Amino acid sequence: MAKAIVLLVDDEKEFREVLSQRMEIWGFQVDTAADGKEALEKAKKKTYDAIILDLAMPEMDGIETLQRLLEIKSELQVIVLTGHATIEDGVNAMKMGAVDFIEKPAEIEKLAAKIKEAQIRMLKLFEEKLDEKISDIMRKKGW
Amino acid sequence: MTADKSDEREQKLRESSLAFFGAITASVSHELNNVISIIDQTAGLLGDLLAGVKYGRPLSEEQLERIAEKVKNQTGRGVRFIKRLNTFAHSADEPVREFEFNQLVENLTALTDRLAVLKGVSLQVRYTDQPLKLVNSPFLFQQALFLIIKNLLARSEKNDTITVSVSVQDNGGKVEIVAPAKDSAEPEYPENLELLIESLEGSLKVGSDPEKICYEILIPGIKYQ
Repeated sequence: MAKAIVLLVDDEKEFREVLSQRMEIWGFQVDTAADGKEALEKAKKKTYDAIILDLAMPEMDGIETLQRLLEIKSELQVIVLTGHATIEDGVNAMKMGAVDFIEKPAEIEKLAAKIKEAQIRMLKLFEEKLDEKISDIMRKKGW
Repeated sequence: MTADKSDEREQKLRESSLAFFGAITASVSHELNNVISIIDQTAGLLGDLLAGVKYGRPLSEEQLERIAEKVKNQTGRGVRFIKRLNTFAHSADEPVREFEFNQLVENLTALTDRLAVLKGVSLQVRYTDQPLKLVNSPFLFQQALFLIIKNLLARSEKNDTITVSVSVQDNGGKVEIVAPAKDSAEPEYPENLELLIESLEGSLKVGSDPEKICYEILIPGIKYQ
């Protein structure tokens, strides 16, 4: 399978830098965003296999960013990053459309596994859409 | 005041103080979690790079220096948060004691800064030229200051500035907290603020004009300037 393309969204510059560096060593192609606004701009221009999204961010928080991301593309695979004692926030985010959550500090092995699962889901969704389009074309042609 | 009213007052103060303590510790624990996350990931990065050495990818001195620097910076950041939290926690040791007014305002506003940053609001503080020592309740004073800042943050928008100014008065210390006005409605008194000011034997003034809202607290108990 091709390298998964990931967008990492976190307002902590140092955390963003070190985690993105690790994710690249672990075989992912990583873009980063410092806030919700930047995340939305990048998500509009590129298709990501997974978006890792911190919930606690200034101005546009993680939940609002999640909602807006899903308005751009409902099939986006968003994995939220939560702090301790905010697992409830992670569960709530999943009710709103996030596909998974992981507690900070995120174990890289777990994160990598979740990203790969997200990539597979994205691929399946793409294949389903392609099948639908092909079936549609064939129906129109009377085949 | 009847015994019932006095009990009710004490109960309200206790609940309010617990909520305040919880809000500050939750905010600091969030910051510390960020610090630990960075250190944890940096340690993990070192492990990843060392694993690469086995496969012929050498680790440079520059990389090691950068990693060491990152850990050192974050540790320093964590220590600063812990010191502030420690100062805050000890402010509850005694109901009444001597404290330095500027230091207390500085510590509380630093602990509250994250809440301002989350809203995109700037919290600016101006201090007195000389130290100002008071004998009063440091914990209740911080609680009153926090309630006002929290109330103003709730009304604030991105790029607003909340200014906290400390000054000496004849009989105590004064703190003025000013924020831009958002509407013509009268600024409200945050819940339990009047109770706190009463417990401090202080006074509170709230004023507004079309441009700004101003809360002014006067805390008595000046020891010496």
